[in-house]
Amino acid sequence: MTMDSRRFGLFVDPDIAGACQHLLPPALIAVPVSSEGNSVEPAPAPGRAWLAALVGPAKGSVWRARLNERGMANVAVIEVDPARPEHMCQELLTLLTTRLDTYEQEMGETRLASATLRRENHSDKTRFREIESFLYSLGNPQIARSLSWEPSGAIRRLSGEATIVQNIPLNAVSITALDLWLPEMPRNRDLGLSLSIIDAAGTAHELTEAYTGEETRGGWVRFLLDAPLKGDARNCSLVLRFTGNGTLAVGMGPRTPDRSFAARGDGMEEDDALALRVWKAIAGATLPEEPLALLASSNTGSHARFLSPASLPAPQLFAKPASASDYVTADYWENEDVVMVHPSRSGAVCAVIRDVPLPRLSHISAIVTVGHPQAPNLNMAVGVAPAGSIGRDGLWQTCMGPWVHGLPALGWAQAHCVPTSRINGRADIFLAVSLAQDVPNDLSWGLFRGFRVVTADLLDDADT
Amino acid sequence: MTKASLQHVTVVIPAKGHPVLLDDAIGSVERELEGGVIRRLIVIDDGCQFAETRHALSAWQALLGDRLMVLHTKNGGLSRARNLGIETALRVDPDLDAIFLLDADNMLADGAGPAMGQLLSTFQDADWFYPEFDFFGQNGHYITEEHFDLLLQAEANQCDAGSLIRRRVLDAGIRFDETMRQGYEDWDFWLQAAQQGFSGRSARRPLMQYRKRPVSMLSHSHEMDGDLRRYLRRKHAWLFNLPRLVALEAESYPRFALVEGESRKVSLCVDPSVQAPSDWRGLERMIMAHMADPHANHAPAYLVFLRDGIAAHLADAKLMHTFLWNCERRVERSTNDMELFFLERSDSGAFELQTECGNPLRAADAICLSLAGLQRLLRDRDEDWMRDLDRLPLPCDTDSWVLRTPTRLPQGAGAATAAEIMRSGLLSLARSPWRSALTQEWSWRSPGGAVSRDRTVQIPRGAVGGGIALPLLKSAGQHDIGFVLPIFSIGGVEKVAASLARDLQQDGYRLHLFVVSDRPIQAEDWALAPFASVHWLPDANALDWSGEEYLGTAEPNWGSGMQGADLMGLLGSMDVVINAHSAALHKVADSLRRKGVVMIDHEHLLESSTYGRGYGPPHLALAYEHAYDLFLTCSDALRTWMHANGVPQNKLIPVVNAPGYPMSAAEQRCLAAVRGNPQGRKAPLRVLFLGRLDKQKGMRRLSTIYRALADHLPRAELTIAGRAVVEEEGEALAWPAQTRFLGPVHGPAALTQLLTQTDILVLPSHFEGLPLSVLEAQRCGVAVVVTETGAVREAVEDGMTGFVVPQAECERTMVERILMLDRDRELLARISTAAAEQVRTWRQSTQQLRDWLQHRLPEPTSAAEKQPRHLHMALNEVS
Repeated sequence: MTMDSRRFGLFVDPDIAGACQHLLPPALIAVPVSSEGNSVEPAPAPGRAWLAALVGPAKGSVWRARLNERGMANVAVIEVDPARPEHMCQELLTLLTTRLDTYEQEMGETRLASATLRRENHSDKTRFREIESFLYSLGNPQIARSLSWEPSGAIRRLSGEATIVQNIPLNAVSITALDLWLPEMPRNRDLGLSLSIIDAAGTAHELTEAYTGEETRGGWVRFLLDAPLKGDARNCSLVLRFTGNGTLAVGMGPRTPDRSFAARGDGMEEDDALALRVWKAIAGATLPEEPLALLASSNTGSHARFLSPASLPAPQLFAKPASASDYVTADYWENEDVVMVHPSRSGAVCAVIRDVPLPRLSHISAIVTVGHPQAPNLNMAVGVAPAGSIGRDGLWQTCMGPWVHGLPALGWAQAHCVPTSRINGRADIFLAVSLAQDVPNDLSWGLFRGFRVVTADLLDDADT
Repeated sequence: MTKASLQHVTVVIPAKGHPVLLDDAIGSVERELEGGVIRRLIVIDDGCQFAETRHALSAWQALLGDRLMVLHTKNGGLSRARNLGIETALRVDPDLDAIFLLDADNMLADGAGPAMGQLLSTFQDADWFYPEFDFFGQNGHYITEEHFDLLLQAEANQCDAGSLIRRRVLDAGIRFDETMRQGYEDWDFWLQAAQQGFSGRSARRPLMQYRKRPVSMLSHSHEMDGDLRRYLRRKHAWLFNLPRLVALEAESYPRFALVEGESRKVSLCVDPSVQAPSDWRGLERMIMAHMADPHANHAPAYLVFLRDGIAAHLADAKLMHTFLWNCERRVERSTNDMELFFLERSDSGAFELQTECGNPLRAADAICLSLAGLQRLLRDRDEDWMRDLDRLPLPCDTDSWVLRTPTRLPQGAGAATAAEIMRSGLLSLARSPWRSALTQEWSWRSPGGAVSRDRTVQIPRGAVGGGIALPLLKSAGQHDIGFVLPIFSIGGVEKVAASLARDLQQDGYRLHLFVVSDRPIQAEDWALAPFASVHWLPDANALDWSGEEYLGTAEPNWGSGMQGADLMGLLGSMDVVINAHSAALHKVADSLRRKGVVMIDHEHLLESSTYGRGYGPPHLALAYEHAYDLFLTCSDALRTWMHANGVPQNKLIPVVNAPGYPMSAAEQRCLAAVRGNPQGRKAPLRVLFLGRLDKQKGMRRLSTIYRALADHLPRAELTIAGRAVVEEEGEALAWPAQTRFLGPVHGPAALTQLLTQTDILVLPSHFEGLPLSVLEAQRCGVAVVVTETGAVREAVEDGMTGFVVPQAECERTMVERILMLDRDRELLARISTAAAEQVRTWRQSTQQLRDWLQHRLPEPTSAAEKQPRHLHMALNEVS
């Protein structure tokens, strides 16, 4: 049986069917329906459009009510006089020409609407181009940091096959790059690490490592998406898979009490969150168009290693201002595994960790925090010099890296230093803290939570 | 072919007033039709005023063929249009799996069809899926709950109507309420579904884009919020009642963290008899997680730091519930973040409570600290301040209260004080390793209408006008009955309440005692034994009797502010409340009754003023006749009086008094044998007055009688047992030398012993109900001589089981009767025997009431019944 392809139909009252049957065009379906209910019930059906009901004289109101009840308030009711059926044709033609007129008018409206929307689209494009030009003049900003969980000094080591899932409290849309803190990851080496962002729809978006070089110096490793994520606003999470042969040190960020944001996977504590930076593209920029490998060769062969204070010799107070009359100290806090340096109101206080094997050290960075919620703002710096090269009366300031200025209470940062003197074997690490304001030094605890060192020679575990 | 692609979803769009935006909605569906999950679109033209809507639909009809079905109907409102669409969808496609409701000015998200298929196939247990609130127009992204939570749904609608609804929900007959044309019809829809045990979950992925405008039907609904909420509360009384909401709260949102001892042992609870053990680290994490994201993480609203042994002591004394309720009330109704508590030994043998004790120079046994207050302390105070918390007085604004119990207090002179426990807890929080999380944003979505978890404690309060909700969970298979008294001090009313409670307990009811005043609870062990818990609402003005008068009887001025609401919160979990003379309770009786609590008033006594004007509790009860389902009277006479004064007959049941303390039948038989025949004894007559030494009891008359008896019967033993409680005579009375004053006689054994050593009980009261002392004396074979008052004739048949003398010149008549009995020991013996034989039991007295309750109360629900289909993990997590 073939389907009737005709779309428009009429209900026909059997009382007048005979009178108008020969007048109805064959393109219309005519269904006999009695108002007494002894024939087919008028009912809406998918894909079918009922134009009118042709009914006997004086039956119009009954039919109207009946059609309304069945959700067909739009179906016209035409009373047909069996003696003059040609009048029905006239009304039917009027009905059809009215619809035709309406649709032609709406077609015109639609064309006008299309033209209007095209014009608006053109205008938007022009204005967007102007904004883009302005952005170029501002130095071509393309990404903005949307999330920053700084490393806390805690390290988890992955080995064998491991997967970590980290929920990200961001809308997935426009995410374009992501940095992990992998303090011991040598550059340009395939460790079997793959990263992807899984959005709420369950789609995985793979990231690839960007060999920018600069990130590696600080321990941050950047991973890029092919393009910023598009679509509707939605939640997302990061999946980190490690299938390498060795071990991978992954830096942890702030501890989270909210279980839904704790990193889940092998070796994770129940409140670990990854150290993480997430970058979003500005206004649809795609970043970068190709991986950078500018500095790749210069660092080939270097080894990065994270050293916790527990693995280092005990610190000693090295220098304090001559005029200092307040209490200053340098100490190792075992419970928190940190080196604490307590500065003076009169100036910077420097501690030293002596005689650390750092053969051919090229870079050292320290994770620093201000330990007390009521502490004043602190300045902090790390430095390094060949072991014993700076005596107690020496100018320790010359071996320090740039100062991190004005770190607030509970603030986290990294201090860096590139050795000014070549270090062949053992080195002294200098830790300096000063107050950023002229206030009493109460509670001004500068904490050094760990050190990332990059050396040309591989460190022997026994050395540290 | 995957399971997801086999799913069949129909989208229903009700259309009115958006002829152009409708194109966007239909266009968004059309894009998804190709995916195969969404197979049909049904549009209901809800009598749209624009012909353009019909033209647009005709055009789409031509384009989409039988994948679109359009119905045109007279305007009947959004609910009716949706229902019509649902009915049509179910009729047209018998193999339909689910329906998605899309408003005409919203759009499906790209990929919505496959996402719906995946949801339907992955989460088979979920009955509907609600999309995230992702708006366009006015941009915004709001938080949605991952799992449908009935407690939160009671507070605010968690699910938009634009949801994916499984067929089984619709087959169960769930439809939109067509009378709700002002909004919140979707809220009602999900409540209907929840009532039938269905539950939803968040789609957690884009399904729909919601057009948000500055003004919408929803914003209009918010303007009518109060009216619409009232409608929902009436319609869904199955949910909006205190026991149900407290039960839901207890499932997922513990209200109290009890931190005990120096080791800071932690348990979490709503009802202290159902505690979930935890530890300090778990609690610390809960608090920090809550502070980091209060919309995602719950923490108990109150931290109660307790010295070791305090909680166990309070639990043994049945006071733990009232302790926590009063802690919460004091914190909420004061401006202090914390309240101190002291537990002391009572010298009087009573349970005592004292409020407004300030911030004294002594170490507290417990401290209640609100979560909000804790957050303020962590934010505003430094560690130095916290370290000072073990100093006295505490270095902050606070108040305190005291409970005194007659039992031995827990030993622990060296144990850590509550302040020390709190101090170490606060320092631990201040140094928490998770504190750095507070500087991060943990959600990119705005709260929108999401319920912050610190509001969960307030949701049950919504069922009782904002009153503090008693932390009491229903016990499976048991109805709860609360006895409310203004004082509980071994009077007749108290004994009757205790006796009634004892009988009801035998029938399986769980009983609770509520004292609405700050008066001590003076009770013998047997009187408190039937009660599972004992409570105070310690408002001093609940007894001030200085309010408006009704028929010459004053009410208390009590009831201002949140006092009434708090009493509702205290009693709202009861199935039945029996009011034994608490005038304060009258003020909220009608509201409680409207909340489904069966309200019973129990009247005992018509009082009489100096000038003979009747007044007292029965008069006041008449003012609140409408607020009670039933009135109990202590006598037939009082039942008649209540009926005569307007209480309908079928609202009256007499529970005629029986002896006020329990005695076994065997003991009664033994007593009868011991008493023997006084005729043979010829011993001096032993006359006793037993009762309160108040003016009401006719103390001056008693003085006259005793003096006359001393003249005529110099060897007679004249005894007075009792003490003044309400109102002394006001002048010194003269008593014959041989009068023995025993003071109050406590305990059934002492009373029985006293009565067995008594021949005649004399009671020359000005007014009485049906005195228990008479009934107790008769049970022990004591002949009673009483004045004509109240319902004494229901206990004493004059000349047969005692003597009833007229009020006028009662002293003379009473002396005559006593002298007659002294002369005629045979008569005394006859009366003694007849009185002992006629005594009734409480079992007999309460039969009619117990039958009424059995008929009136529904079958109690079992524990497993009515559980929501989803259970949350919060308690599991902390445990």
